[in-house]
Amino acid sequence: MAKSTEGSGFDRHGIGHLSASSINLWSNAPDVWVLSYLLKKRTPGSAAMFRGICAEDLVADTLTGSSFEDALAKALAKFDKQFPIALSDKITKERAMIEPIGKITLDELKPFGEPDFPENGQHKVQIFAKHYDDWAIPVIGYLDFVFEKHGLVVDLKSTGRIPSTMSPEHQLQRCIYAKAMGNSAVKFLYVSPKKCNWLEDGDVGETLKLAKQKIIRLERFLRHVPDAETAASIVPHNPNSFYWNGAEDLAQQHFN
Amino acid sequence: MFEIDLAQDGITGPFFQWSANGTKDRVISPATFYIRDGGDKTPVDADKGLVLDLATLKTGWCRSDGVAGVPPEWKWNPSPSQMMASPGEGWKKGISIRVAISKDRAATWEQSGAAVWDALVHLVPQIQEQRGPNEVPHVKLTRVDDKVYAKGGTAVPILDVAKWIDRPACLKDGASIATAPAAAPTPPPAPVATAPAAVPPGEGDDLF
Repeated sequence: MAKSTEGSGFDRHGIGHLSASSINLWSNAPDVWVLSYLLKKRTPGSAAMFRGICAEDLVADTLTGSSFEDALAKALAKFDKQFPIALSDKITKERAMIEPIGKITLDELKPFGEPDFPENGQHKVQIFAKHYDDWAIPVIGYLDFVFEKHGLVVDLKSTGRIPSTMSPEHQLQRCIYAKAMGNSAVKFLYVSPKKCNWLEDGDVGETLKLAKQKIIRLERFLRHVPDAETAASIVPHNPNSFYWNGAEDLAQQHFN
Repeated sequence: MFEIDLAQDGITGPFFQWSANGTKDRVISPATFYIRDGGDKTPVDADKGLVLDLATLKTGWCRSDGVAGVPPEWKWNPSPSQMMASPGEGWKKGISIRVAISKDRAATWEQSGAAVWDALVHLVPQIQEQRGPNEVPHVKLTRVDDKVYAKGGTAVPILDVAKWIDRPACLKDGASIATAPAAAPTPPPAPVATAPAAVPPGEGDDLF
């Protein structure tokens, strides 16, 4: 069975794969999707996003043999390198969340032992979204922690507020991982500086069916627009979306 | 009158300042940088450029009662990468940084308020990128923006990086007052593989 984007809208615009974040962005903010994937310009990462990356590093380093103190110093240095000059105490509050989130996460994950990592550092997973025999596009993802012996995949979500149910966006991410990982359980661990919650929401079949509808619409859109600039002139633009925070200049440049 | 030009933390002048509204003694016009050295005030033509020594940058909160001869009170952040919450009402964000105004003359820019802070906010995206330890930005005053806030307004000096240069000798002399820059972090090592991935799905199971 051919697994190719050849002749599709994806092929026309050089889109070789999708991901949960790409599909979610297309659905939630098509203007930002066009900016990121067709115009190839990225909006700046937020302090909250970077706090999550550093907390995950802290946990991974500690679980694989570093002392907590050394791993914390490295994680904070990484955060500081990204934000060498903090213009708001909001950035410092995000920085201060790294340590307590790391501690709570380690309490939760230590019972599973050392996670398994491939040599290149991250587990990449891939499934395919297929539309009849027209095209098939890879949907990829990267796993945070894989505990092979326990048949468990854990995605760490550091957050200021613990949810009681997973957002549809996170459910899609989980279902892509679950589909790719066959018989492994895929759980999301939400951790705030004070508490945590394990969640495993979303029916894999139903969620991927909905995602496929979005992917088909995306492919049709791409098939009908000749270039990135035309795409930017067609999609709805919402300048008030949080996605544009810190990227107001790009919004002005490409959508006004 | 005998005037000691001494800031709270013992930094001696000369001091580099921005005056949004002009000085009370009318020596300095509105929207002008100037040097304050003892009792003397001299305008600085920032269009020609200034050199900022980022290794000496401190950020923090400042409170002043506006009483002549009484230095403002400062609470410095632990490092520029950490901004503490406001200590309370009446405290304004501010900066301290060594500035070269010519090849052989340096001064300390220690000032708080919206105009100075907004100038830093404009500059930060241009100076965030990691440079060599001896490279410093040569900035120019490109324009002055009038900003209106809920209460009042001010004139913000818009400084843009013209180029990066080696730290001039006059800034090397001022290194003793500098806040040591944070040590560059080492990149994290890649975790070592210890086991194969989970059981892969069967042929065709990866389609949806």
